[in-house]
Amino acid sequence: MSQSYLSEGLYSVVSQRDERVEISLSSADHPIFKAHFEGMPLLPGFLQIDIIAEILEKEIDVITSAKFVQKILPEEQLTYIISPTKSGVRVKLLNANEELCGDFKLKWSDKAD
Amino acid sequence: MNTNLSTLLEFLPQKAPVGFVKEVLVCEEHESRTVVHFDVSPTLPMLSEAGAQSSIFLRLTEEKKAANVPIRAMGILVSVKSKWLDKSDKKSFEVETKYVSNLDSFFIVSFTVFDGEVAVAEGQVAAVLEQKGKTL
Repeated sequence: MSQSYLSEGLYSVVSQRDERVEISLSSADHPIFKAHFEGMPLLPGFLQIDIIAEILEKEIDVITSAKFVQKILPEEQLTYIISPTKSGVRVKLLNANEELCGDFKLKWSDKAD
Repeated sequence: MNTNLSTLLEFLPQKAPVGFVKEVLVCEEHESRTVVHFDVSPTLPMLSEAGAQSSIFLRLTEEKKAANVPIRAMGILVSVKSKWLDKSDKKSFEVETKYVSNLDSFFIVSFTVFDGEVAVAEGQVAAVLEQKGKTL
């Protein structure tokens, strides 16, 4: 798994097993948090999806629905829980308190080299 | 329309490297068109973010007034749906956005991403508009 120019240094994988991936976000000093937004650092919604696709080396083909439920701040510990659906996958993103931050229904494929 | 389009980018709250809109071509009541650029070939989520950013340049004067939303409101992204129509490895695109509907301060906007004349992706974004600094 290689990180993109946007996500490099933005997160680190804490654990990865089966359908559960835990990550830790960087501090507010990361360029992404400085840019989104100035003085109000939040993890952009698109990166909430791109991070898990990057870790699992997937390419997103369809975002059937993506709901951004709760804002995500620097240094948060997050857990992705992935489960298959009839037409793709469902990815739930939880914070350290097990509160739902994002709920994504996706169609993805293995990333081509 | 007497707006100086070159000055509109100051309204974009997202800055580099996540400020994808580089130029505003059309800024009308219910339609906008922008030029977006990425440093690499974008993912579908990146194109969707570009759609959300482009929607900032919809005027929506009457809708905002009726919803008691300030003209310079900040949008909080609530949901997205999108799909590739014709995958592209280009880095620059034009994005057209159109107002779909709103209920008070909850707005739905559609977007289409073009590589030249070819539509490569499309989707919808939903956002709640709030006075800048009020909620975030």
